[in-house]
Amino acid sequence: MTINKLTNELKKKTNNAPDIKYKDFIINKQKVTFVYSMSVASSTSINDFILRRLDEEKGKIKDDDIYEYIKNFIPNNNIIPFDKKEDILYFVNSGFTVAIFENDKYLAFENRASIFSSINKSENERGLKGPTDAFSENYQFNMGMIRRRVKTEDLWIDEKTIGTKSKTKVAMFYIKGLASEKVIKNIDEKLNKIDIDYVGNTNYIIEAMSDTNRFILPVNLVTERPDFAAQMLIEGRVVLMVENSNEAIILPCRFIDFFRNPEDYYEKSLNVTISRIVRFIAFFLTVFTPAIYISLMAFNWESLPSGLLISFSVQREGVPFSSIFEILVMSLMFQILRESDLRFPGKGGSSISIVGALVLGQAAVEAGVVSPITIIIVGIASVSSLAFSSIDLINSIRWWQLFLIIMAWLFGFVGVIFGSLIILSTLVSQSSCGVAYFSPFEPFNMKEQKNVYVPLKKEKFHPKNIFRKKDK
Amino acid sequence: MLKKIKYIILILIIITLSGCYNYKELNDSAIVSAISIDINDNKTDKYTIGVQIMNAKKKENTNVSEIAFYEADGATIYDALGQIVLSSPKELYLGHMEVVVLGEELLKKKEPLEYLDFFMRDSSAEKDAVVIVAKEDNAKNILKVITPLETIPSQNLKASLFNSANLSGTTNIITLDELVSNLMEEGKESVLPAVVLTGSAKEGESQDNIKDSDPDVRIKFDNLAVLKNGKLIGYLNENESFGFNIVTADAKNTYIKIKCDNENFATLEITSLKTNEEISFKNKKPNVTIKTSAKTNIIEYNCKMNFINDDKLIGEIEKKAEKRIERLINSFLEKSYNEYQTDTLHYGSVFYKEKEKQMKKHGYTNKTIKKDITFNVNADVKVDGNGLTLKSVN
Repeated sequence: MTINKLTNELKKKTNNAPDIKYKDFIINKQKVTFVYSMSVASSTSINDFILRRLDEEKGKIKDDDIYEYIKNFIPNNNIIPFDKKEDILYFVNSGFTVAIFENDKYLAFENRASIFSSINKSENERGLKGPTDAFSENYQFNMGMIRRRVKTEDLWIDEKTIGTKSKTKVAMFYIKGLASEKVIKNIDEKLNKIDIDYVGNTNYIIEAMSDTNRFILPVNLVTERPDFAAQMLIEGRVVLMVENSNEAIILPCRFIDFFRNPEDYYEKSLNVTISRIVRFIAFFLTVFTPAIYISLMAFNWESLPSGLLISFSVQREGVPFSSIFEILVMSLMFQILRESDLRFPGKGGSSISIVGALVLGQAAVEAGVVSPITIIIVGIASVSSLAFSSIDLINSIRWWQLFLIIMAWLFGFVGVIFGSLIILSTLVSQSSCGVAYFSPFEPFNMKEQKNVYVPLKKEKFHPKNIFRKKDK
Repeated sequence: MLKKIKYIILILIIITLSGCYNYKELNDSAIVSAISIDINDNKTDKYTIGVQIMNAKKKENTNVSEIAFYEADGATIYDALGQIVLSSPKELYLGHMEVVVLGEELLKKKEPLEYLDFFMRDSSAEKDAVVIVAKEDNAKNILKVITPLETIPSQNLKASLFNSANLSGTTNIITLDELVSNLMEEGKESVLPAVVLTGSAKEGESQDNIKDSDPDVRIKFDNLAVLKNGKLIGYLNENESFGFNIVTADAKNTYIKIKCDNENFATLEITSLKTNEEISFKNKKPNVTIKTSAKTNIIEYNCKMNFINDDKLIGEIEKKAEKRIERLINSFLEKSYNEYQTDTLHYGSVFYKEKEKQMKKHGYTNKTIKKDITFNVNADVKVDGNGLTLKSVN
């Protein structure tokens, strides 16, 4: 096929895209056409290293085989020869310059433009201590940030292209020998099975990988901190990096992993134990406080001391709504506040908190619309829900909170206990990439117990200890 | 499909387990803190019931009484409570009932088992409420009095009962279910704490009563009342009540006073008190040996003394204290077992449980045995400490 025919075909395929340029050269009576995209490729790099060089050397070239000359003498760090014409546009769109030769030979030079934000500070997982760099949208940078931390040759990277339209690269990092073969195989199979058009973010991969969408909690950790990702690699987990995404997925993940923070590893272990216990307490407060309050107020008065009962009764005096209604409305108001605070541009945030504190707290109580105790209960539950670094977790335990409130409303304490049994059974039956989600409690493992409370810097993610018996 | 059926079964189970949907707002109920039962001579309405309700109003106006008192007559307890509902805007809730006051008249004429059935049968009624006798008075008068220190009179009653039982040793705490189980035994015997009202009941109802630092109307705990065959037959005096509490080892934080010379007294604080009872047959007669051992501190000594020079003094004090305790116990036993012929300590049932064969061999039944019980009382007192001074200041 002649070059002209091919370029016409390419133009037709792309509907003559304005950013794709075709540049013809005739060297020693042989024609070469360079195809590149103005939008993703760096024009200075193309001008300086390809076009100018060829322009200057055009007359001097004596070689008959222009293909060999260009392949060997154009200065570029990444030259990929290929011979499938279907790949041309993929390379062009990835920021390569493709040289098309007469005899159906193609060369791709990397001239990727830097159109990414630079390395930023971590916004969502801020910590007091530790490195502050975060993953950016630049896939290469992200890989580099992990490589820089884990220099062993055992850090293996499997790269896949996912997304029929977006053709996004997904890299699977693991340390050979530390990560369980079983887990790697499991993840590999899942990635291969994915059949979607577009991968916009890590979450596209997460959703596509998960077997069921009914389980409320996330079954994978997402982090934007490379130091945490590296730590997880050392523990024997697999890290998935998605092109154009500033997060990495950590697999497999257990329930207790949500109670650890990246900065746990930079503090004295004994102090972290306290922080972890506080997080456990915060978790229980979030899930159970409103439900227990409802059952105490509407079913099980005998479990309250007389003094507290009369004090509750005095506080509820004159409030026109039932306690369940109050709790639901105040929780809803908190969620709305939180949502609007997140979406509102930075400068307006304070006005929202003032309105929230004054109108929803003080004024509502003084007007006798809600009882002060409801504000306290919703306040406790809401504030403790924010003690976790994982936003996925914070968002998902709202479901449990609501579920238990409704159980308490219908059946009192019996309902709360029954509801927690249902929650526990969903936790216990779940698995993440073959690993039991609720380990090391179920299956119970004595050795792993201390990892729950103390961040062990030498800890290894022993598959032996966390797989279910039948999965081993 | 099978999964869905499973879930439906689970939901059905919890609906049946929790009884049913019974969501009830706290404010729709009146929290009854104390209840009084009096006899009514009317033929159809046998009881007069008074309820003290905790007033769940915001405390803006401090002159408002913290309690509300309602009373009504009825043929049964529940009937009377039903009559109260007619005049109260809220449903009565008995789950936090702390005190049950029984009128003296009622106790003399009717057995408690006849009217306490409701409290044991009703699932929401508190079985831990303390039972108190209104000595020489109607029970309802006790509940009407507004008291200083504690804002809610029933809590005042309960707290002072617990305190006096702990510190003075002349009253005892009997809860509703304890009373019922005592009365269900052979002989229907029990002791009950008694309370007396000083001053006129009418004045005590007013909030003005607590405006003085020394209120005219007060509620004071008295000595124990004794029930025999379910009916009140009399009261113990202070020493006898104390004796009872020493035998039951309930007088743990109390004190004993002894004479140290002809005029003055000394006080020993009891720090630990243990009582052992051994039952046996001596000369074919049932015999109970009560061994009491107490550890004490000298807390007050109003005679001249010097522990440094006189090392026999402690021994003398111990001996005096032992005698005192033995006298207290004996006076109680004398009154209860000889005068009233009541087995308030339930030794009859102990004999029946532990020595049934011997009992039958000697020709006793559990009705007759308690009349013949003889007692040996032994006290052993140790003085552990003498406070900060070795010499008396006298």
